Amino acid sequence: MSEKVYALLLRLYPADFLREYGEDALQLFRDRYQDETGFFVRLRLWWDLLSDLAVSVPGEYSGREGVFAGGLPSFQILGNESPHPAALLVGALLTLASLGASSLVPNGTPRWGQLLQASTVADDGNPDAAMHNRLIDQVIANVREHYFDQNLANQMADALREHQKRGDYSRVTDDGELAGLLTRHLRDVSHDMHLEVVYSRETLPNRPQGPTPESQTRYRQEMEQANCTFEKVQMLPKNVGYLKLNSFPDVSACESTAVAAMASLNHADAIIFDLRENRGGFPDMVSLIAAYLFDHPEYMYNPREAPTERSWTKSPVPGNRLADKPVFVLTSASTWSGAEQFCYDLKMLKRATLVGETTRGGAHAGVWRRIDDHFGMGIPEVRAINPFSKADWERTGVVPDIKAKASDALQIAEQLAAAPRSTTHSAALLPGLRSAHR
Amino acid sequence: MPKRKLDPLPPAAFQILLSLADDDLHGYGIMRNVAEQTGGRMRLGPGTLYSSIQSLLEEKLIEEIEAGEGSKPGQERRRYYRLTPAGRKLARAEADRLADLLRVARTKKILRGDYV
Repeated sequence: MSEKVYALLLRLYPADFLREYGEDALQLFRDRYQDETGFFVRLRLWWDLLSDLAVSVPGEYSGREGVFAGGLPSFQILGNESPHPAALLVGALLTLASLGASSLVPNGTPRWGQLLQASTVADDGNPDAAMHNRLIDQVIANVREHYFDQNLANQMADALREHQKRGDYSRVTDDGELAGLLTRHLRDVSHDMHLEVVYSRETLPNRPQGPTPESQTRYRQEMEQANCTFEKVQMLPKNVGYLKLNSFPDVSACESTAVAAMASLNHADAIIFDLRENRGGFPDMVSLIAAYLFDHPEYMYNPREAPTERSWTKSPVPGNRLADKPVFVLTSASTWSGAEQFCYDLKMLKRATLVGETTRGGAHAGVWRRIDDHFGMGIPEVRAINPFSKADWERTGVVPDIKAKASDALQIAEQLAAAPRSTTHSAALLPGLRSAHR
Repeated sequence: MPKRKLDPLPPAAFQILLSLADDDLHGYGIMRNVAEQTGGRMRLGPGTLYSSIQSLLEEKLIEEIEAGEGSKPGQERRRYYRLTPAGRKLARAEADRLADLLRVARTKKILRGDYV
């Protein structure tokens, strides 16, 4: 019986497609029908078949003649996503209408019953609505469990429920749009730009927590090739050490490179860190390099993490002579994230003079939480207490001590670094020097 | 109606290429393999499956071969499909593209694992 119904539905395809694949399609139906037993599994089978018809029948009619139109090869299929239930319902009704108009329909009522049953499935078992509700539940559960501000988390949960009640989500048919809407509603309450719901058309990887051995090996190889992004380590005229660092790489892969770089600058009278192209990295490396600039352990504030043992520099570093030398940090508008942590902390600790442009302003980060194959969300989970002021550099960036075009910053810093260091003028002008002469 | 171009490769076509990476399969075998490799998320219906197969055949990304050794005389004829070198190359290119996308997602801090 079911096979006959499906055979009838198959007639919706163009004749040439049926000639070529009709029997194969029917065979596939038989195979699935045989293997997929049980009430709900059968319901799912019919849902699949109707969705498939709704998606692929129009595709087969839409210009097979133009496959190579314009010289570009193309596929005719529309995609494999389930269409919107409304579209499916219309499709099912059209199916009924076309079958009704066709003399092919035998006079047996059970077939109509079967078809009607199938179309009811399309309507009532609306998987979109169920999926929406499940997604909203998951988003609320994640926010409640992980967002660092419990009070705001509850307010956000209430807001989403309110929108849900009003039917704001059931109107949405596009998954990406739904993710965007949920994000907007979360941000309306929290004003936290790092909270977001993300939709991915591709299946999201079920990543284990933390990096895999393969990714670590690859990272090591990349870092080896790039000298751990220590682009330049050299002595400039007037015994000024210069270090151009383009990220703060993982300590586990790059500790020896960092130690060697700092050792080669150990006899400099002043040191310039060029972070104009630095896009951030690992807070451990920020602490490791900063350790050379202090003679006692210093707290390196990182807004993304609650303080750990590694938040303090391991100062003094044995044999190090840089702890009291003037420090200059070159910045640009693209200096970002972990590099901004280095800038911000040294500025707040009055241990460096920042020269260049206001940095890009990326302080916080959401932790990724996978919800299902296609949805996930970023949630800021920790907000460390800022020991220096209420605000960090999120969105505003770190403002340099000496504002200059990024392209001029090195020249200015070189002049400052090479200037006589005992004059009161320069000491008063430059916090970095003042600190060095304490 | 604007037609989907080869680039980007439709997910169903990509999954079919992947399903044929190890073994030659007939239609139902492909469908089951795709369901398995997507954790049951993608269950290709006959229409989508065979229209994708048709397009892949036309582009010579897969080829049709004689029925597998398992088939006996009298058993219904089943068409088996095999990945061509061009199909393998395209699948690899698509996988690379997705890997690039992942890298971007990591730098945008959407994926956990890489601080900042």
